[in-house]
Amino acid sequence: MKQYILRRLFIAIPMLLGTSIFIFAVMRILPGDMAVAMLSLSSAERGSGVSMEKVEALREQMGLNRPIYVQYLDWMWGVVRFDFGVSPVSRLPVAEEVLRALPVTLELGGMAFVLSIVIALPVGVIAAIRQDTWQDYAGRLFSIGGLSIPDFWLGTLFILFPLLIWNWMPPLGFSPIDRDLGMNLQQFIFPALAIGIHQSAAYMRLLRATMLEVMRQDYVRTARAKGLREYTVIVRHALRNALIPVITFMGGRIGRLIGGTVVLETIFSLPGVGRLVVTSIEWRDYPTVQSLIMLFTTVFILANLVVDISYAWLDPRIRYS
Amino acid sequence: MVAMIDWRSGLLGLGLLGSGLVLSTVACRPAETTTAPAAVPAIPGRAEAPAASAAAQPAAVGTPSDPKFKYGGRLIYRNHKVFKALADFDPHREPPGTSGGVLRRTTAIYNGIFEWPNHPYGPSQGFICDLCESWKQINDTTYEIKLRQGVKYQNLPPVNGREFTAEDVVFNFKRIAQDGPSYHSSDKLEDLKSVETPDKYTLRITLKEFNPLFLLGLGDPFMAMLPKEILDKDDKVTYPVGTGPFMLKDAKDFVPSSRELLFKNPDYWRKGEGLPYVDEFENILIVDNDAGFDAIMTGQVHEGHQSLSEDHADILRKDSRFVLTEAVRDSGTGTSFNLAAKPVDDVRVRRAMHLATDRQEMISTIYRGNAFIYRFVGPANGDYATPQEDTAKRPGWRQPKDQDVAEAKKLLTEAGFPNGFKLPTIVSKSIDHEKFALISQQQMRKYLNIDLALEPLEMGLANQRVRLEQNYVFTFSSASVADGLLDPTVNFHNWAANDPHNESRYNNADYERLLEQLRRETDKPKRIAMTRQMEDLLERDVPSISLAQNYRYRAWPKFVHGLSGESGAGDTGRWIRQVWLECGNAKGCQ
Repeated sequence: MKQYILRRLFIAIPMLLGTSIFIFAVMRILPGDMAVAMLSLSSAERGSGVSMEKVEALREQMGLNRPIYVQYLDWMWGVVRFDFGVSPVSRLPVAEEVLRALPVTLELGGMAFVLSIVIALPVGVIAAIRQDTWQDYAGRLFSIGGLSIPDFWLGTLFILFPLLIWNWMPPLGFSPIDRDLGMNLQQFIFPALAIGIHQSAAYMRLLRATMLEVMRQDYVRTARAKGLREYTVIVRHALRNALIPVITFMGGRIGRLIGGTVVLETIFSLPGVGRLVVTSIEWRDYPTVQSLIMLFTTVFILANLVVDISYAWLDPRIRYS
Repeated sequence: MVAMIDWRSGLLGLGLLGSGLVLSTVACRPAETTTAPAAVPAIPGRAEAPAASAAAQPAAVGTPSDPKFKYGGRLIYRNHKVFKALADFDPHREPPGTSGGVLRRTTAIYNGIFEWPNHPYGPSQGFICDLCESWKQINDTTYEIKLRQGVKYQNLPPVNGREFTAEDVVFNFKRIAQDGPSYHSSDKLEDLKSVETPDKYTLRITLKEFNPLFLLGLGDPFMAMLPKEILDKDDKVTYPVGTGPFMLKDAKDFVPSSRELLFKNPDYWRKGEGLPYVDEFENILIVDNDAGFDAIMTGQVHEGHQSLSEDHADILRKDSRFVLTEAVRDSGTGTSFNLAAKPVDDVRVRRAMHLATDRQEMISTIYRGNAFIYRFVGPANGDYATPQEDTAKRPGWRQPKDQDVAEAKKLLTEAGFPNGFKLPTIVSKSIDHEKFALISQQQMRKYLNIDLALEPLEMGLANQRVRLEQNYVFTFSSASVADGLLDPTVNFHNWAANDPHNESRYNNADYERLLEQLRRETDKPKRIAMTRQMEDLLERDVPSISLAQNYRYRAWPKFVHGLSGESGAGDTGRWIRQVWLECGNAKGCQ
């Protein structure tokens, strides 16, 4: 197992390297000069003009006049030392910006993940064990609806419906947990629910299918024949095996979880990584965008590794040697 | 029964239900009505008279003599820009994309030597003393300013309540005048030659040359007076401390990229007048405009920064809980020609396009009639702008279009394009520009057979192509016209030779001469006459086509008093000092 983990981590290095070259190149291929984009967006609001002198001065300041390979190597050298540079937009270290935004996204993503499991597990299991009953139909209807409705639209509805009916809306913005826990939970519950419902719909469908398959296996019939309680049969014998493909699936949907946060952080005004990506792309903030993409890639790689390792815990037959 | 319904039937039923819902929604939608283009509105009115509802009337500016007046409470504003760090509380070095936020936050914390009594988007009032007590002009290039005595900075480290003096002004002038990409107001001090301080409350300012607008520029909210102690070795603000009515008591009251809570400054130098009236001033970041509007409706915020659309205004007009105000926006939409590019290098082509542009159709389609035409100087209700009724009679602006279109076709034929031509057109990706471009495309095709080949580009890229590279033929753009309210010379920089705003690279000796004279002339009737002459030149040469200037809506609950929407004064934090709340049982009032 140890060797397996080390091998997977080792393979991750060329993946990250390839990603870094790709994102670095893409940011520079995108039309529009970074210095011009920054100065234009800033000056437009003041009604002042953008001159070539200011553009050149900013390019010089940001090191954009250097050869491209020098810029890349300089950036990568910083990444290796965990120095991701300074954002020319905010003038803050990129690491500081990301570290400040990350807890918000982690909280949102974590809540959404927990909610998705809390919803999907019982609904999927009940739909499977009550196949072709109204509980099954309701569960399947829920899953179709949840998959069809985009999470960002659901988030918008969570604002509009209470507004129209009760003239109330979820509090927008962000209050840190240590300042006001109650307000923090109010601010996060609705966007988390929007993402969670969308995710849970997919998990529920797969879980129902795998449960149905597992429930037909001989060992489940044997467990029942032994006189075990139905709860024990389902949870200890059937569910554990049915979960294996679902966990794989969950790992693969980490990307959608993060993607969901991007739009919902904007709608609910949460200063997370998702919103940071959007504004950084808009401002051609190369260092921040590059760092965030590297972060996302790392998260995906690690998430998949964790998923693979969890197989062995769930199914003792699986061993990595 | 349930067992008889299999999953296929269930899916079919759902599908039929869904289709029925969609069809019924479409069928029941109210029929669209078409209206004739609105008549030219009288200044500052709208095409139709506003409904006689309380929502349409701005609240009277309250004073402590009002029987309902109360001290205290928390005023909550919505912002759509981001402050990411304490260093962003810097009016001299705002980070990109935060100018709206800078105005509100920093001017609640800081003061300047002068201030504009109303924001320049409202009726012109010039400037008045803020941190100064009086001023006088010694000669053409020298002013003497007496500062208020006993004004103290907020009692926060590292400044700890020390007195504001003339030395602070000298320091701030040096800082503002720095010529770097992030120092954005250095141009306001270009004419400054020297500053002397005969004593700690007196300034003697000498200019390089006569500039009647120099002191006016010092009233800009960006010309705030910071204490040097709050700056670090990299010239960044470490903690905002000023002389203003509100202060950031604790760094924890600032949540980066989200909100900040400012408290009443107990040592505010105008506390003798009872200012500020509210105890707390909170800014909340709400990025999405619709969510910001919802927040106003539910009382989560009391006012939003320039976030209201025509749809929002329609709803608010009918809601008696709110005050809705309309002010002419500070920018106008127009187009620019690259005078060096064919075929628009021919003035006949440009003039034909100007004549064939139906601005009223654009105004009624995009703004439902709630906008103004303008010649070249704005805002439309300013002293220097050509009166609407006169503009509306001029070729290109007048209705109906028959005569102008006939003239346009004739010009185009003379220019050698009887059958029209294809015109590459850059459109900066802002909602309004794209709408104007689409309507203009229809009009040009209909009247002149000119095919506008639209190329939508991000703002930064559009700027790069148009302003820096001159790699364009025709483009839609925004012109800052508000400055024409106080000083049309600033407005006219859009066509001044060697000015970065001059997209068309217009260069006319008569225009330059008039502009220089206008800069130096102090007699207002003469200035207005010169402005007309310059507009005549621009109308003759057509380096650009002005299209429309629309309203900016603001709204707040009726329990908020002291805001004057017509002036836009609520945009600047200093004016929060005069706001008071009459809470009662009002929702969202604390």
